[in-house]
Amino acid sequence: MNNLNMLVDKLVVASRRQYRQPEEGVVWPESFPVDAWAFSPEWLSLYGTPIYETLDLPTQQKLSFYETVNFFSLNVHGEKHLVESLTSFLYRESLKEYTPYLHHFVDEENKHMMYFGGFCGRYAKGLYPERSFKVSRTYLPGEEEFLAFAQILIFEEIVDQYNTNMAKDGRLPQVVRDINDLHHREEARHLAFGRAVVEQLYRTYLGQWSAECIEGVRSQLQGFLLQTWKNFYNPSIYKDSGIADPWTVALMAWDHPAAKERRRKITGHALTTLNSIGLFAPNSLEV
Amino acid sequence: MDRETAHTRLREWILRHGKSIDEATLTDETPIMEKRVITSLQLMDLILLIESMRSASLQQEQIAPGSFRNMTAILDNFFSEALAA
Repeated sequence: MNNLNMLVDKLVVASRRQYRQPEEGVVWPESFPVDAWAFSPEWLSLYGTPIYETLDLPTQQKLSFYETVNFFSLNVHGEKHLVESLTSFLYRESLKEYTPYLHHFVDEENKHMMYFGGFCGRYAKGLYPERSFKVSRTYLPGEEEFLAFAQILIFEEIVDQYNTNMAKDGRLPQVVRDINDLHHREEARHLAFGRAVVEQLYRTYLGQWSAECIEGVRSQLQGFLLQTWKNFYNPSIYKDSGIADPWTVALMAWDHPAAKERRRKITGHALTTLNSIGLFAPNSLEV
Repeated sequence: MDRETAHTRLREWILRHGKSIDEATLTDETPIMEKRVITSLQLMDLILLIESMRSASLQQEQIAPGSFRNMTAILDNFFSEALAA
């Protein structure tokens, strides 16, 4: 039995032991406070930009509420794609050893969507729309699986840093902390699995891919990384917070050095596995 | 914003940001997504441009491949009301 098979067995046992019904784990208050931080202010997309300093406290806190709605919305959209990919991989010959854990992975992601979507449905007007769609294409052997798991890993590594921070932030209402904490605890298993699978797939297929294919993989992941980050600067957040000219604000915030630095730090950590397998040199990607 | 102004700004944006396309090749019927003139990543910037030109956010149902097939589809889907007004 190789290391990855042992990890799969271990993760299956952990998922069974910590199994919970989707209704468990979060106590939903009747309403959500308007005069509270819903998102750690230092992690807001506008924090550190000139416009943030012009906002009064109620507007900053309103912004933090809509950033939470956006963060939870993009988690739902990301996890919908993740579940779509993982279910299409169930019982696929090349991934059959992982199938026992993929069932738990899909089950847990479904529950996460219920927490995130539950918040947006209860306290806001629902999810913000997903600002992109998948364009179909053909793949070389192993390319589809590798790209799917690598994208899942990038996405989860980024959001997990937000989850870890928000779960511990005593300024945030308990319901927000609990959702972030639940997600972080189960993501720890998904991340361990994802890192191992990405390494394994890369080792398996690297020799079969041409230099052009590897460059295509790099380019696709670079695009995915930027796409993931751009979702954090959704103009609907600013519009709903009452900030004027939300589309210009979104562009300004994206280009601001403080925001770039925040993305650079978080991305540096998120790409550890992809750097270690040799796909990217550290700090080589645009963010 | 009227359809003609929207058409001009849209065409300028695609020529500036699109891949492997020049003024002579780009028509209102060029399938910009299918031919990968616009990538998935650029689609997000295109949505931002359309929203800013309309001063309104797009709904989930509007963000679908058919709405962005070519310039005619974009203008029909997002700027036809402005034309009628």
